[in-house]
Amino acid sequence: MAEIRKASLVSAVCFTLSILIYAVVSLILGTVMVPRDVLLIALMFVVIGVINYIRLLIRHTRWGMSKSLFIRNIIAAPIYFAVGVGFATLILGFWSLSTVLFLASIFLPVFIVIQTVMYFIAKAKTDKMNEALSDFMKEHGGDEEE
Amino acid sequence: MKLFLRQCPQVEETEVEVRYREKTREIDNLVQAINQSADTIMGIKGNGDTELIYISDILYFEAVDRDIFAYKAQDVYRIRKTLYELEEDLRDRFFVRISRSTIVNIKAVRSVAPEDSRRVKLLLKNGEYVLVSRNYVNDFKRAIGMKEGKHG
Repeated sequence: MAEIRKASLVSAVCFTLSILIYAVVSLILGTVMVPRDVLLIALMFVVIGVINYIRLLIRHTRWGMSKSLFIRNIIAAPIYFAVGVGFATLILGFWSLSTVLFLASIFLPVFIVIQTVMYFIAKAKTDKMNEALSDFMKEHGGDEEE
Repeated sequence: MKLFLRQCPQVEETEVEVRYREKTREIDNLVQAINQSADTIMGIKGNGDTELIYISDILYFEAVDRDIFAYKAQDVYRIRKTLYELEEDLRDRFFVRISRSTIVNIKAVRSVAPEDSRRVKLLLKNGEYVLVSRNYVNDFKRAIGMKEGKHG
């Protein structure tokens, strides 16, 4: 239940932001917001919400817990990209393969770099905790049994 | 009440058997006294049998709905205490609260790894992972002796 709530909340926030961006862009370009596009954007976030929900479920499995956040995000990135490209094609019209590949060549490396940086920042903190844990075990005689 | 003490060199672990006609308050007190005399806690197995568990063997306690469970490397026991009581009782025995529903044995933690939403996950000695909630990360850090300036 908590997973559904969390996945829905993320989708709702992202949907609201995307509608706001769409509205601002429409205002700048002097175009009108097409109801069909708004519905497609809503549908896209429903799909993303379902993916997020599945990810949250997988995260609590033994496999999910054994994989780092970085790996799990890298695995999910192409799925999000495919959904994004799919709905963008429906909204903006057909995209050629070269356009999709061009976008993928930008999105995926940028995503990987951001994830790598975030992972190493988080890891630096847990490295300090591992150091403290090791000191704790030396001091208090950690359970050596495996 | 008769008390028999028998030395048995062949037993691997001290055994206490209480034989009673009827479970009275006296029996309950006796069990409680035995429970308190050692570093143990009374656990109820899936089949309803009760067993004294060594605190040091417990990896973590978890609240599931209204029940509290103690997890050893292989076995799971239901515990007749609240998480709050356990937290108080085990504070000096290297147990720390890591989420609203979990208390972990620090000595059973093998490593710490980052997770999303400023949480961390702990790898336990049996290969299982438990999550430290964002609100309890500082409690865990304090419990393992991290101080401002020493480990960041």
